[in-house]
Amino acid sequence: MTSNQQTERTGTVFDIGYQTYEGEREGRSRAWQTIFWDGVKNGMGIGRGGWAKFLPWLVVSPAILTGLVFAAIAAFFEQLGLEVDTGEGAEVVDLPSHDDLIGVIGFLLLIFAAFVGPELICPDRRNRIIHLYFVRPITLIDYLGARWLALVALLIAASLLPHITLWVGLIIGVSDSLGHIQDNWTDIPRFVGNSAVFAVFAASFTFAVSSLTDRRMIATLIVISVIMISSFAGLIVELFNPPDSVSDPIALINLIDVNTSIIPSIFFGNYNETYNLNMVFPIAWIVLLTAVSIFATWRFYSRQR
Amino acid sequence: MSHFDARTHLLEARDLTKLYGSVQALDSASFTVGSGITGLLGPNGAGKSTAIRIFLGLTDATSGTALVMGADARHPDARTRLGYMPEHDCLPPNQSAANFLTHMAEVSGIPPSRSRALAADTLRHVGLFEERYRPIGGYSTGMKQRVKLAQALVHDPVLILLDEPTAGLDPTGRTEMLNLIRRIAREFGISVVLSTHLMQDVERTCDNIVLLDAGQVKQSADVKSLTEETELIYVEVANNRDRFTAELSGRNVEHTSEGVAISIPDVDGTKFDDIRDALVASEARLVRMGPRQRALIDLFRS
Repeated sequence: MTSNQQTERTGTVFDIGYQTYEGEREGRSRAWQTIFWDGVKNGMGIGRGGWAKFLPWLVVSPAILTGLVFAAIAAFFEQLGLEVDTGEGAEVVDLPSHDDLIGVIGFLLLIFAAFVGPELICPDRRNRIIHLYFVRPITLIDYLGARWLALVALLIAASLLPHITLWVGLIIGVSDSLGHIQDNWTDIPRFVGNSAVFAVFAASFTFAVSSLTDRRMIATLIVISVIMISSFAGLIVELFNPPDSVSDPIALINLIDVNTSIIPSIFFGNYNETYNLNMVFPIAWIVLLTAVSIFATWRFYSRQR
Repeated sequence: MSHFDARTHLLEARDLTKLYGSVQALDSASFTVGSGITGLLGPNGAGKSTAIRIFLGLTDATSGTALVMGADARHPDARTRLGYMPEHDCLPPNQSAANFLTHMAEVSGIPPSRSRALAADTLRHVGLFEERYRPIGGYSTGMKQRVKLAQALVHDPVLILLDEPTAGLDPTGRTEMLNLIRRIAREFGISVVLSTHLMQDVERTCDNIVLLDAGQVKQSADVKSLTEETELIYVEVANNRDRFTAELSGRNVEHTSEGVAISIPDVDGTKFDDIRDALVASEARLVRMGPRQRALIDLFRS
């Protein structure tokens, strides 16, 4: 190829100018989906820097790992030389249950909510992107609803993953898998229902706290502090109650206990064996906390607009 | 909204009143905004931001009606073809301009399959195509202003509201931004409302103005008619200024002092002879004399 050929024009660039958009406009449903999926991705640090990914996975990984350990114990129960407790033998243990699993991972999931919840709404206010959302064809309810559901979805997923792992482990561990499924199928709606109640409460509560500040870490610290203080207060209350029972409604101040023990026991049908308090109290308490949190978040954002 | 009737006013305020407690931000303000570039002009506290917030559906009027392309501004669908560029910072520092605009296009209802292409096109039009994958946090003030403008344009609106778009820009950046705004209106066919307190920006850019003061509409007209109807003769003399103004008064020539100059309204072009005679009689040495269109700032002064 000669130098003349190299400099010869082979094409022409045309500036087609501004092109108006004649395509479909999908309105609020598209906006809603976009904000939802953006919330899911932001929550897990997808498409963001290393630190944004590290924190949520750091907290949720032990919960998933616990599910795997429980599942492994269930799957290799007999190979490990363990025996199901029939109330007769001395060297026996219980098969790991979903109820047990919640007791171990419940606190981790609360911490997970404390990290991920602020991530979904604080940066929008801190960077003032929130103003750009509200001048688009969406409402305040659309924005908050999509973000809230994104957090609920993440929390349900983080909660269900260990349960599903354990459920599979339990099926593998028994000789009659089909029989086990037939006998224990009600475990599925129980742990799904418990995960949903936990997710709705935790998402609402962390959003209410996160609406007080636009700094993520401060919101996270407030959520963790409130949980720890409530737990400490609950322990003090328990000192004045009969051992191994909750008979005083004031004991419900312990948010860790409510979410990892009291509410799960309602779902798994052993509440009345463990607690002397009318079941209406913990249910009403969790509903009240959730409703107040949702109202507080909505109220704060209404005033901020 | 896609079947917007061009004969309808883009924005229409009917007796808009807004009270913040005992403070009256808007006082029965009525005005319309049509196609082209309209300057929403007024001093701080005039009610410009409140009017914009009402049209954007961010706050409700205490009384009166705000219509956006014929639809009630309180309804979310009224914002489907509306864009807004705020004055303050509103950009995510860790995201690229391309990703941010794609996201905003989707929030405006554009399908994902088209939003990325629209984002790239819009960034090309505002001169940020090459830098579109860089994080916004590393952009200069001028580039950030362009991203803010681009996010207002990305969903192909009929009308965009710009709040102090030249704030914080150096003279070159300001000129470039005003040129871009003119291009948006003339070439893209997108109407613009420019809210500003900088009258020079309005004079250089706008076709129409709505002048607000203390929540009331003081003037609503096209810029050309406002400046043409009020032609002035500016005269500057080196000495005997008082004698010169006395001679003008003696000849019944209306005049006002403006700094070193004396301005004389001359709508019909008949005052030059009187000015010449007054100069001769007062023995004042003429430094400069000539007709000048009245600046928009004179509207405030009057």
